[in-house]
Amino acid sequence: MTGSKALEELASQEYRYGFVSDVEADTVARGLDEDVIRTISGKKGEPDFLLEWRLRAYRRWRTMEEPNWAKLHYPPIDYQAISYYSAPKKKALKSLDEVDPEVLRTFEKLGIPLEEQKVLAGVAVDAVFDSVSVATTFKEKLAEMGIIFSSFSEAVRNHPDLVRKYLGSVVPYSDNFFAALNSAVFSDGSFVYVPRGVRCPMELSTYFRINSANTGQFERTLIVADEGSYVSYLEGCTAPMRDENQLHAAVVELVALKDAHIKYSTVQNWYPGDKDGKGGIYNFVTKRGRALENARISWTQVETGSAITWKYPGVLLQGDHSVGEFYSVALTANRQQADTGTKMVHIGKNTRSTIVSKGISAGHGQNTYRGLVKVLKGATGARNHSECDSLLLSDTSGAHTFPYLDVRNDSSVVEHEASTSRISEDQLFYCRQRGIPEEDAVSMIVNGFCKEVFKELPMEFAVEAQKLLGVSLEGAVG
Amino acid sequence: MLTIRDLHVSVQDKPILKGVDLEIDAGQVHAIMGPNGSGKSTLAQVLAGHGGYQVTRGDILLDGRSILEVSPEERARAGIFLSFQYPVEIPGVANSYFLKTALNAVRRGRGEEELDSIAFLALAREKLDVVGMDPRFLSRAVNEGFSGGEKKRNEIFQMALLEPRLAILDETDSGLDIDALKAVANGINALRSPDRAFILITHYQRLLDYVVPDKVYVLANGRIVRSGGRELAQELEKRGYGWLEAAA
Amino acid sequence: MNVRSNSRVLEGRTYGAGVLTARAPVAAQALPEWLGALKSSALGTFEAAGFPSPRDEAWRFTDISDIVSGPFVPQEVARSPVSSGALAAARRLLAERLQDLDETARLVFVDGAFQAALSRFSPKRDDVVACSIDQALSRHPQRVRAALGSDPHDGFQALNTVLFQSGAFVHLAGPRPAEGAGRPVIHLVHVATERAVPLAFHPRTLVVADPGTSSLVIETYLGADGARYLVNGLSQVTVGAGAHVAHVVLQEESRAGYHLQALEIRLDAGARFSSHSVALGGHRSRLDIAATLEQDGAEVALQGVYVARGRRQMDHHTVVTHVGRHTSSRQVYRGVLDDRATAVFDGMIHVAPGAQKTDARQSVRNLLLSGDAVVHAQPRLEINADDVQCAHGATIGQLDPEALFYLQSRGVGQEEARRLLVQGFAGESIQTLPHPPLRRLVEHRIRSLLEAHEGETS
Repeated sequence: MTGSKALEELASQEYRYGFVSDVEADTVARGLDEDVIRTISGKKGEPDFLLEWRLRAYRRWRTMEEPNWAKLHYPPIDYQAISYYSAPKKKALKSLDEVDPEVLRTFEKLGIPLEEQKVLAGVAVDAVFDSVSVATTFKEKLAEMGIIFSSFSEAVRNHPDLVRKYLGSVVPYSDNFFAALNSAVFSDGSFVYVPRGVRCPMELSTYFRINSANTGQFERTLIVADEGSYVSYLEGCTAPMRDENQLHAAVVELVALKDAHIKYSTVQNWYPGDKDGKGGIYNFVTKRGRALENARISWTQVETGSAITWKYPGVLLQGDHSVGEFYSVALTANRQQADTGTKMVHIGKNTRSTIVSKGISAGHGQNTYRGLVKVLKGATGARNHSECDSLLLSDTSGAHTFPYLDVRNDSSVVEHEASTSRISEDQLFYCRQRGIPEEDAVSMIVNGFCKEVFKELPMEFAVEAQKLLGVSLEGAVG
Repeated sequence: MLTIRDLHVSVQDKPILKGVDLEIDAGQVHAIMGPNGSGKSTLAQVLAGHGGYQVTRGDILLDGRSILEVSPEERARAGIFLSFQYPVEIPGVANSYFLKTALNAVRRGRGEEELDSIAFLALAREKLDVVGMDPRFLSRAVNEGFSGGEKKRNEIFQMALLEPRLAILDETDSGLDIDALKAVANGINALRSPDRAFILITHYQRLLDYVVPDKVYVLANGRIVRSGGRELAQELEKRGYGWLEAAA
Repeated sequence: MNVRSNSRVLEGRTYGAGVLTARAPVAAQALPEWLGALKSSALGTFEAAGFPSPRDEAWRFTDISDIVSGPFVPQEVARSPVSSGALAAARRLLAERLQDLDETARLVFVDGAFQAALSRFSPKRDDVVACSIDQALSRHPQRVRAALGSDPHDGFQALNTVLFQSGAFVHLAGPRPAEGAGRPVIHLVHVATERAVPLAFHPRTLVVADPGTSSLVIETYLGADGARYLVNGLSQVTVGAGAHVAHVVLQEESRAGYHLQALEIRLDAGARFSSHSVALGGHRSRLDIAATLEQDGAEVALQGVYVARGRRQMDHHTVVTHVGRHTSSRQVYRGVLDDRATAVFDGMIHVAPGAQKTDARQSVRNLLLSGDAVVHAQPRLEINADDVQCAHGATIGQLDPEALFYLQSRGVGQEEARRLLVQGFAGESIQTLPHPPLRRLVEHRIRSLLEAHEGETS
């Protein structure tokens, strides 16, 4: 088969962000108990309510079992072999000048300049290195409009009331095993508050970077969009290549108050492990939004990294006329496994949700869409449309689709469609007859397959996402 | 320009072409006619380098050099263009993006500079006029949801854009209404030039009323059984293929 | 869940407790040695597996607690001849519900026991064997043994193997029917009458279609009004190379009846199987269909229509496993839910590695007519080969108000208009039913079910 070579190249893509930075770090010894949690909280100078909340989460976590219903296979995780806190040494940064230059160089290498004058116009960046936020750009400019965009730790210090009011209000610590673990040990993350009626003038963006070995990363993001406001938030992630698996268990909570709109985009490119499945990030993430009356929450994700992906960004459509959207591209190559999808819970009247999921399986990759559409009894006039397409690029990969539709209201309409296909020899020949090399043709067809999702991404991210998918195909000539 | 010598081709060990000889020079238009199943489309696909066909004997020479081992994309860059009988749909890929990629690959092959988006769009609009296509076609996905006639026009449009040296048109006239047929014929005639050759593969002589060929061949049962001038096509129109098949 | 650890629900006269007492009759029955061994092994399997628990993914939405702790007494325990009163009741029910469907053979079972007097064969033909399993055991023990297969691993299916006493054995001998004889139509009718003690039946159905044969097998389940009982059936169909079997389950259990049934199909190369499930009755009913397309070119088509009113729950679970190359499957289910009814559809298409050129499609549509009705739909795809075409679609919605208005504007009353539209919706599936007399019967039964007032159905 003529297509197989280019497909193999796709299936064995090289990871470009796998370097390790030499940064002096303040790392807590491996293992987890209440003292570790007190230490983390103490290092961050947290108020009592937060320490208490962490401890409650920890106690709850100890009673919980790791979920095993996902179509994922990985050896047991030893939670006592992980270090739960690592931060570049040097604290209380007042300006970028105080950041370890090695950390700055790391983000530059990743293509994320933190010096404001160099930053792409219209994107404010919060950079999280291992467990802590190292720099947040454009803060002052945003503050003029009343927008708070800061590291989570800073928000705890400066806006404890807001944090207290909304933390755990969408994802309670008892939600699931990984959310409970995150609630107990989360070290940093981003916090956004957009005041009533304000349209955030630039994309807000967080780049997460895991650097240290044997550490887990447990960031927590909380975005509150007050009535009638709008914010578009981008999230990117990378990690070094290491032979050991590293754990990433994040929680993201979105609160869209009346008439607000939050657009949350992710390009997840954690280290996926090598082609034999050695190393790579275990990515267990809980993301959920709560949409009040007439509010709208859109999740867009491009998941190309991680050895294991377990995430189901969802929306609680609580307010009448609220809207939830989920657009996803998930690529699993080599030995990657992804079990990802969404949960749309229709609670309010005339709520609407849209699900578009594109799964691409290559090499020995296993790709599962798992989604729940739940229409509660009171959700009169609810509408859902789901579309899940899979593209198989090899006969050793798998594509699985598990939608759960649960409808308890007789005026709602729920529709789900799914299909599975592969790149046809005819498509490849057609492209090649027009002079397009095979590997470019594969990349082009895969990108075309993902188009419905890419068009939901902000421009810079869309370009990055396309490059990410195409990266594997470069160097395939010869 | 193109020499086909004693060409034998099988599909899954079933012989389809059983010794085809053909010679075409720059500036010429040759028509290959024949009944269904005679091997016409196989010849077109083999010339373009489709991997599903095995050449078991004979050779195909472009400018005196064998191209049997040359990949489809290299053949395209060497100036061979195939207008597909059934153009393929590529969902989500915009026609403009597809064609810009193709054109630049071909231009690189010819040692020409690549075109940027602005130059490409200007060129594309100019060529769209040749086949009377709406510029909106550029932003639609390749062939997706196109009618039969639109797909065929799109093929001719691509040909106009890529400016091949040897264009093979596989049943480009089939299933077209008279307006679309004229548009396609105009497209072909506009491209006729002393350094370009055409192979028109067709079942009917209808297209040949508009594009006058220099030579007509009849392919039946894997062999060329008759050749002649334009009048052969008219004879076929009157008498059908039966008398020739019997002879083959 | 283990039976032994489940003693709380086994106290008293519960079904679970009754199951445990099954060991003695298994040993006591005068069975061929191999069958005794199979039953013992199945009992071991059941004891190890126990009843499914809500933690089992496949049983998440099927509440079986009132089956497990229900008062059902396994048929063996209550072994007593069917009374003349029960027979008379069964005759009345048959006369009322089933007209002559122009069958080749009709086997009738009343309260689990085969009734030769109610059964008939016409005309007699030698390419068809249709008899009760006990008869078959004495006449063709080896064929029965092969058809029973090995010990099933699911709890309820293991129980059926342990406890089945009778059932039907159908053998379609190939390759061609006698001159002038059409496709044989075999009708297996199970009637449950009202008894003082709620019984549990475990009917076993074995269908063996030799290569090249073509046949229609209908299983009908009827329950007398007010009868409380449990049917735990297991049907096994083996379709030989190039053979075609059409199979129908017409489920009209009583309002208090429980119906669990598993249908297992094995297909040889180029074999075709079509299944039609018509679920109209029962308090809780569940049909599990597992079709394995092991050989190249096999085809299955699974169709179903369920109309659930009152407080009924109706489940359909399908697993279609593609193993051979160039196999195809089609699944089309239509559900109508009214009142406080619940429906579960869980359909899996599994494509094994190497099952290239698989073509699998599934469509499930549900109509919710009441704000208190609930639908759980889980269409699932598990694809492990790349050169395949698989698709599924699921919808849950209501009657189109435009269509309703259109009918009303033509003078049709609202109730009648609704009924017409519902019938049209279900009709898509009914049209696929083979055998015109059967199709007419089902149309009639669905119409009368829709016309009944809510109080009559709950």
